[in-house]
Amino acid sequence: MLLEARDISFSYDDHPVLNKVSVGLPRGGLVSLLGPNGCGKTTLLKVLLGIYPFRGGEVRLDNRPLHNLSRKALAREMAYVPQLHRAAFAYQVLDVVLMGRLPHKSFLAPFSRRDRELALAALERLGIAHLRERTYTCISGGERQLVLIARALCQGAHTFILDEPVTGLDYGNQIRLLEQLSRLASEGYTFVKSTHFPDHALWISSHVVLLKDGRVIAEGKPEQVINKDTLFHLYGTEVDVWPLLENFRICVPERIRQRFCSCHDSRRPVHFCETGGKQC
Amino acid sequence: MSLRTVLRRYCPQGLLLLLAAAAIWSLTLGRYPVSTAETVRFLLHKLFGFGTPEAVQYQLWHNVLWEIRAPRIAAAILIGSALATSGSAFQAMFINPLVSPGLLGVLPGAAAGAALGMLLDRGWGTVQLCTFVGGLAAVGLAVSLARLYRGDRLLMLILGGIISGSLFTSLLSLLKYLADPNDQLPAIVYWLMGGLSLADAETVAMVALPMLTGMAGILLFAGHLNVLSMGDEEAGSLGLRVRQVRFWLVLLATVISALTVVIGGLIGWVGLVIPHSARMLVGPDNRRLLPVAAVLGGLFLLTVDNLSRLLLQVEIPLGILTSLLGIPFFAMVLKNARKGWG
Repeated sequence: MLLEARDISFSYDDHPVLNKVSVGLPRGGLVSLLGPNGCGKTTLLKVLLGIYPFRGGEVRLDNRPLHNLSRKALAREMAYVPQLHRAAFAYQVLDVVLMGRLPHKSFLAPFSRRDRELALAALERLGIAHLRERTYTCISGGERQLVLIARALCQGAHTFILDEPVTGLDYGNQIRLLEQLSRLASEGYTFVKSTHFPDHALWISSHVVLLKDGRVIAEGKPEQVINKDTLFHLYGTEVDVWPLLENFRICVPERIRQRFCSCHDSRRPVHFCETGGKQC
Repeated sequence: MSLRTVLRRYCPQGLLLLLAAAAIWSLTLGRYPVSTAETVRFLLHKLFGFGTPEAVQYQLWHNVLWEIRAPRIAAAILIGSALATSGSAFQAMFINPLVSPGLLGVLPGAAAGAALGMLLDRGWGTVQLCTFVGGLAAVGLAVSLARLYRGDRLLMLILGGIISGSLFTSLLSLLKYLADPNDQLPAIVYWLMGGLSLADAETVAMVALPMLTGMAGILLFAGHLNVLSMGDEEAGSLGLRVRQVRFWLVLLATVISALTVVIGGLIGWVGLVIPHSARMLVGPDNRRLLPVAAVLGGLFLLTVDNLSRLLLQVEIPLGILTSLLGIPFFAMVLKNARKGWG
C-alpha cells in the first residue's frame, strides 16, 4: 500500500466528520472517492495530505507515519490540487507553476534556471506551454486546473491528491482532464481524487472508495464496488449500472430512464428493448 | 519589448534614482535658501570628503541641511517605505488587496500608547516607548484572541484585529477624556494627525536600524508571500510552515508599523494605496512588488511631506494630506478591482 489510513477520526468542534475511517490506496493508478455532499470526502483528502490534525489512528505514506515527515519532505512526495478557485492576485502562469519548486530549495535561495526548466517541462507535459506568460486569473477554469496539475508535477511528487478536479469545468474540459489524469496514471503516478460523478469513477479509476456519513461503506475495484445497491446507499436515488461494452459501464438513473421507457426490466439497455424505447 | 516589460524590468532602479534625486532636491526646500549646487557640494564633502568649502558657510549648511532637514527627509522615506512594505505583506498574507497595515490593530494600539505616554508626562522618550509597546500589545491581543477560537485562521485573525482595534480606540478616547484639555489634549490630537515636525536626528537614528532590518526581513519572505497568498492549505501542501512564516511576518510588519507611529504619529492610506500603485507598475509577484512598493512609498511620503511643510505658511499635518491625496487615488484604482488586481 502506498497511502494507508487506519482508524482516522476527525471532528469540527463537536461535529464528527470522519468516524474510524480506514483506507488502503495502492501504488499507481487512480483512486476515486465517491460520496454525497458533506460525507467527509474533502476532510479525508486533507487528512491524507497531513493538513488536518486527526484524533487517533494513523496515516502512513510508503509505510512511514505521516507525522514523522517534515512539511517539505512530504511536499516532495505528495502534492495537492485544490478545487477550482480564483486566486486574488494576477500572477503569471509560470510563476504559479514555479511555486512547486519551493520544497526543493532552501529558505533564501532564489529559483534556479533548472527550476524554471522543470516548470516549463511540466507545462509542456500537459500541453499548455503556450500559457506560460499568461495571467493566472485570466485563463479558463480548465486551463487553471491544468496549471495546478503542472505545479504538482513540478513539485516532483508521485502522489497527487485532487479535490473534485472536474467540478466547474465544461463537458469537453472534463473529458480532456480525465484523459490527462489517466495518461499520467499509466506513467506511474498515483492519483487520489474526490468526485461527484460515479461515471467518471467507472471510466478511469482503478480503485474506488465509497464514503457515507464519515464511514467507508465499500472499497475496491470500480466494477465490483459501484452498483445499484451501493449507489442507492450513497445517494438515496435508484441508479442502474449498465454494461455498454464488455468493460465499459455507465450509470443510468432509474427515474430518468422511466421518462423514455417504462420497461420494468431495467436490466436491459435501450437497444435491447422490444419497443425500441417507446412506451411498452 | 513591450512597455509592460520595460516597466517591470527597470522599475526598481528607476524609482531608486528618482528617490535619491527627490531626497537631494528636498534638502534645498525650506525657509533658508540653499541652491541645489550648494547642496550637492555640501553632500560631496560631507559624505565623500570631496572639495574644501569655506568653514563658516559649511557650518551653516551643516546646521540647516544635515541637522534640521536631513533627519526629516530620512524619517519621511523610512515611514513611507515601512508602511508600504508592511501593507504589501499584509495584502498578500491575508489574500485581500483591501487590507492595510493597521488590520491587526497596530495603529490604534500605538495611538493609545502615545496618548498614555503624554498623560504620564515623563518626557518624549516615555511617549515613544509607550507608543511602540502599545502597537505591539494591540497586535499581541489580536493574535491571542484568534488563537482562542477554532476555524479559518485568517478570518479569526481579522476578527481578533477588529476587536483589539476597537478596544484600543476606546482606550484612546478614554485617555483623551482624562487628558488636561489645556495642553495634553491638543498635543494628543495633533500627534494623531501625523507629522514629522518632531522627527529629530536622535529619533531617526534610533529607529532607522530596526526599521531597515524589519523591511529587509519582510523582503526575504517575498517568495513565501506569493505562496501564502494561495491560501493556507495550498501553501502547507507546497511545504511551507504556514504558522511559523506568518508569525514572523506579522511580527516584522507590526514592529515597523509601530515605529512609524513613534516617529510621525498616525499616517493613513500610504499602506493601502502604495501597494496598489506598485502592483499596477510591476504586477503582483511579491519578489518584485515589495522592493518597488518600499521605494515608491518613500518617494510618496517624501513628496507629501514637502507639500505639508511648504504649501501653506503653517505646516499641514501629514496624515491629513496623505488621506486627502490617497482617497481619490484609491477610488480611481478600484476600477481595476475586477481584473484580479493587476
